[in-house]
Amino acid sequence: MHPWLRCAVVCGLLMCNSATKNNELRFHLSIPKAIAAQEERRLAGDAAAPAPVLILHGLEFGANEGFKIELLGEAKPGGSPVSLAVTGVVGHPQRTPQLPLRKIDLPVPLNDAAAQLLANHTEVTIIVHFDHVDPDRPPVKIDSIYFSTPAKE
Amino acid sequence: MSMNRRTFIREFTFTIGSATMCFWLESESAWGQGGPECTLPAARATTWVPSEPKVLKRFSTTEMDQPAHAAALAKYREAICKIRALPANDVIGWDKQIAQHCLSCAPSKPDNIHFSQYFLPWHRAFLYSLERILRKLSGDDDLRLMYWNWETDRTVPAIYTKANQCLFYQNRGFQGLSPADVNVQPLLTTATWAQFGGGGSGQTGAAFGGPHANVHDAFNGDMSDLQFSPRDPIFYAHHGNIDRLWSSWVKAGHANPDFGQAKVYFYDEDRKFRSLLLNELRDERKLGYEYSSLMSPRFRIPVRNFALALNHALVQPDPETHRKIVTEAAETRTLVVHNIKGLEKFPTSNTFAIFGDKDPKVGTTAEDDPEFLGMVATVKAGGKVLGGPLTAALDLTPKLAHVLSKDKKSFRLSIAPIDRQTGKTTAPAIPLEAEKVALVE
Repeated sequence: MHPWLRCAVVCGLLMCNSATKNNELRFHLSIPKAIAAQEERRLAGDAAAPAPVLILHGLEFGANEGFKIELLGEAKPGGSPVSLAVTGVVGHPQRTPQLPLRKIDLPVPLNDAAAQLLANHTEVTIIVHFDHVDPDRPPVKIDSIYFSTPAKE
Repeated sequence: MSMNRRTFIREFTFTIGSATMCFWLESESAWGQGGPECTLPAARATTWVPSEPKVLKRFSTTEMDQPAHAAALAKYREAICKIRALPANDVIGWDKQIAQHCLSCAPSKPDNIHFSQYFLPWHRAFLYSLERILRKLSGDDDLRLMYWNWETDRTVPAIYTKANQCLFYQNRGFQGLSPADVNVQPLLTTATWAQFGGGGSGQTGAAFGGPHANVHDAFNGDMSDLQFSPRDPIFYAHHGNIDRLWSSWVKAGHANPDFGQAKVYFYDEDRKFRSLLLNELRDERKLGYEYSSLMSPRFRIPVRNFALALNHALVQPDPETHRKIVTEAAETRTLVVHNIKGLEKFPTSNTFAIFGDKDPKVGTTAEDDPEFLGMVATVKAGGKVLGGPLTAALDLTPKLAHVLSKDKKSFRLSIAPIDRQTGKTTAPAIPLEAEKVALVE
């Protein structure tokens, strides 16, 4: 495991996750201080501050299965969700994921809207919304999500 | 040269050790399993080191559709026709291009190149080898691939949609792309290769998701198939832009990794089986091409704070500051006047209007005056004006032309008390004195 990954596992504490709809997962995350500070810098116009990266850890899908993933953020549970990124996996929708199943870690850098949501905050709710998924497919699984915080070399 | 499976695996293991590039490891056993589009003959690889005599531009599909590139587009299209016409078992034919991708992306492969840091270099080699084959087939050594800049052109390029020509492909159900689907900005600022390009097997890079996956999936046809997407000629223009994204990420100040002894294998234009170190792929100019333009991180414009000299109410920027203010655009411009002095001359007033280059008469309606810059107020409590420093922040965005311009190098500030109800000045204006003045953008 990379040093930055180890650090991220520690820093990006996963507080809870719950499936609300068949095509949606909700995660309540603590925001590592380094990420909140980085987003403050982005908000202030610091050109050198990188975009925060969320890792979808253990994203599981079928062989040659594809779908779209939108990440949304809520400052407070039940608040208005803001779109933070659109990503995906290349392939076709599958009613039953074909074997062998594949598990990957997918990093997702977040857009500028994340700065408002994460700067000066300690917690955030992330909604992982799956699109172009067969309606009869069992829910897509993710082990956890966390913020990647590169460790200093 | 042919070889048996055991020899091939030994050769492979010797060359890359435990690295996860097992490109074609199963090539012999794959014969007959997926048809010509998923089988390749094994052979002994010889090392290949890129040595390109010239660096030429890969242009966008939009640029290639312009009259200035008509001849180059015709050559490219003709070369695609030629490769598509080669026999199915020709190792450099169209089916074998698809087979290269198919074999490296088979669902049964635990080390599928899409889900590790080999995603970007493998596809760069794939495109480069195709480019050299097309150069040979066309007899034009200046031929280069092109890229589809979907960040600015979110429809399938017209040169790929006209029927009855070799860039056309039938099995497309293009569903459109949104700006969010192709937003490269967060990718360009990812800090590390592990985040951007990926790591070991299963440690996918962000470059695999985002626009790469979204554009593939938007086609709802063969382009959406992880193994067989190279059937569609648009694949190579799409991956040209993914390759350009990698070049842009490096140009934005990020470092490529050391891929060590990891290699990629392919058949060259002379049908010889070759191995190429991934480290040779880190600089596209070594491969004889560069992109006609790169993606640029669009950072927010940092706040700029111009300190302006203030001398007896005369605000006078130095020549360089003046040049920047009048020649460089800004979304907002605010004049900040810190710690205004002399207001004790108006002991009963707590609201003041600030003017530029004007001493308004008593009774002037401030808001109607073109030289009016803004208002500032102190706090009144118990019939008394509370003292303390007073700083004004005046939005000059729409009024800047009255304040400073190419020919106007300075301006005077004056301040007058106004009646808050009527908005009219109640005393003659006096020159404004303050601790300092700045223009903030």
